[in-house]
Amino acid sequence: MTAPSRAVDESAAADVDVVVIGAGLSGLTAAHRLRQFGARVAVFEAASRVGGRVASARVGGVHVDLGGTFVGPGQDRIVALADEVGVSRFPTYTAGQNVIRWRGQHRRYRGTVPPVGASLLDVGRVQLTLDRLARSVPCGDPASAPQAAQWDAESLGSWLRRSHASAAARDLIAIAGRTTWGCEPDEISFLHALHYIHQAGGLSAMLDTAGGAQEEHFVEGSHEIAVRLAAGLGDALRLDSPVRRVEAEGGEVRVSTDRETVRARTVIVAVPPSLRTRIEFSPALPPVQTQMSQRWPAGVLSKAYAVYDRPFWRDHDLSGQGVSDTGPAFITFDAGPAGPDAPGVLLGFIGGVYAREWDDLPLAERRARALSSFADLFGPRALDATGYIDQRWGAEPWVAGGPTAAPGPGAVVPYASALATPVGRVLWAGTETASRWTGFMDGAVRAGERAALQARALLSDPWTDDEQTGALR
Amino acid sequence: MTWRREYTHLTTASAEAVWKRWTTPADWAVDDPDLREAVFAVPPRVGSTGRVLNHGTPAQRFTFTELQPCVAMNFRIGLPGAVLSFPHRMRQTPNGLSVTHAVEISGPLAGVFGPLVGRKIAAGLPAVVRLVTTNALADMAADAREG
Repeated sequence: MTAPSRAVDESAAADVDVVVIGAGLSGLTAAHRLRQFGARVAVFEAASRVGGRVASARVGGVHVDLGGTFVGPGQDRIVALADEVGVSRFPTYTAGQNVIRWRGQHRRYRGTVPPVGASLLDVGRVQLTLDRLARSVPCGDPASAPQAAQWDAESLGSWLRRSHASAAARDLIAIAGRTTWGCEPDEISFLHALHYIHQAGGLSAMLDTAGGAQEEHFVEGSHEIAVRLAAGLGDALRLDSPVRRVEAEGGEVRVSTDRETVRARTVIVAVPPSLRTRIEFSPALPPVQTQMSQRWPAGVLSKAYAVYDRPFWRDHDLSGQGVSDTGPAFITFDAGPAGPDAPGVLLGFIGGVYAREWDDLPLAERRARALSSFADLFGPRALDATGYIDQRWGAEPWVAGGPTAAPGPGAVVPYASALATPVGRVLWAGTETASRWTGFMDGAVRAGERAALQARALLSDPWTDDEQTGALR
Repeated sequence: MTWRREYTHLTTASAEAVWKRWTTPADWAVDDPDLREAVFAVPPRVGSTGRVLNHGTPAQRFTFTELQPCVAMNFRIGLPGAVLSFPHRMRQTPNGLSVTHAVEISGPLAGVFGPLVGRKIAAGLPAVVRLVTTNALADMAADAREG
C-alpha cells in the first residue's frame, strides 16, 4: 500500500457526485450510466489506457482482441451496451470440423465434446453431474447452497478424483478450467466452479461456440466499447492515475491520487478483488474485505494470435477450433475478421500451469512455441505466420492476471459476500461482483450497472453526516 | 510391429545447448519429472550403457544406440518380447530449431506394451521437451552472462 502524496493541492480539489476507480468495462459502464442519470462523475484509471481486461492491437494489418473477446446468448447487457455505442458483432467461424490432439494422436470431430474414446460416456456423466450440482448453487449467494461448506472445502480437482472421473474427463475439465479461470482444477474451490457454471447457464452455454459464450465477437473489437465509453467521459477520465487513498469523513469521500484529491458523495471501486488492497482506506475496510482480497487471486491466462495471408485451415474443412492435451496453446479458435478475402487469424489460449512457464519465456521463444502448437493441430503451414502477438495478463501490473479471480478451496463461503456488499459509501464493481456471467464481459457490465444504481440510490438519499448515512466505518 | 508416439516443438534454443542437455546425466532428472536419476559415462558412445531410475520403479539398464551430435540421440531398454526406445531428433528450420522426443516400442509384444507402458511415457513427452528447451535457454543465458 502506498501513502498518498502530501503535495496534494487542496485548492484544486474538485467536487463530483461519484468517483469511479478503474476504467475497465465495469467502471466505465458505471460512469456512463451515472452520467445518464445526471450525476457528476470522475473516473481514475491507474494504467495509461482504458479497458482493464479488454485490450486490442493490430498485427499483420488485422485487429485482434487481447483480452475479453467473445459474447453469446444470454449476455444481454454487454450486447446492449455494444449496440448503444455502435459496436457491431459477427459470428465466430465454425464451419468445418474441429481437431483434437489427444494422447499423441490427431482426430477430427464436430460439435463441442471431442472424441476421447471409451471415456466419452464418462465425460458426459461428469458434465451432467456438474450441471446438476451447479443448479443448486444460488446465483450471487454461493454460501447459501445446501452443501456449500463441503463443496468449498475441496477443489474441483479433488471432487473429480472423488467422483472417479476418468483421466480423459479430468483432463478435459482441466483444459476448460485453464481457459475459464486460468488455473488448474486443484487450485479452485469446487463451490466457486459450480457457482460460476450456474451463473453462465451451464457448462454447454459456458464452453460452446455456436449457441454458447463463444458464439460471436465484435467487428471493431471489444476494446472499442471501452474506448467509446471513455470518449463520452471527456476530461472526467484521468489515465495514469492510480488511486492511493480513499477517506470517508463528514458525509463525503475523498479520493486521492498522486496528483489530486477529489471529493465525492460516493465511490465505486471497479478493480479486480486482489487489487483492492492496493488502495488505503480510511477508516480501514472491515477485516473480511482485506482477507477476501488476499484469497481471491487472479488466474493466469495468456493469449497468442498468429496472422496468415489467408485462413488456410478452411481449405481443409477445418473450423480453426482445436483442443490439445500437450499445450502450450491448448484451445484454439479462428478469430479472423469476416469477409471472403480477409486474412486468417488463429487464437490460442495458454493458461494455468502452461502459462506460468510460458509467460517467463522471451518473446521469440513464446512465438516459436505458440506456432508449434498451431502447427501441431493444423499442419506445418501454421508456422508461416505473417504476424504474431501475445498478451500475458499475469504481467499486467494493474490487472495482475486473468481472465478472472480464481479463489481456492475455503475462500468462498467466508468471503464471497464481501465481493459486492457496500461498505458505507464505498461500492464495488468488476465482473467478479456480478450475479450473472461473472468472469465475462457481460458480468463486468452487469456489475457496473448495478453499482451505478446503488450509487444513484445513495445520491438521492439526503444526509448530513456519517451518523445518518452509515458511512465507511 | 511398432508402437510410436512423439512430440515436437520449435525453440530458439541452440542445437548445442539442447545437445548438452541430452548428453549430460545430471540434466536428465531435471528435465524429466518422472525420472529420479540417470547414470552414464560422459561423453556417451554408441553401445555404452547406463542406468535410469524412475520414481517408484526399479532401476533399468539402457544402451545408447544412436549419437549424432546436434542431430539425433537414441537409447533402448529391453522388455520381455519387446524393445523400448527413445528417439530424440533435432533439425534447424526457417522458424527455429525443431526438437522431437519420441517413445517407440517394437517387437512381438509391442501391442501389449504400447498401451501398458508407452502411453504413460508418451503423456509426459510434451513436458519433457518443454523443460529441455526451457533449461537449454537458461543455460545459454547463463553462459552469456559469464561471457
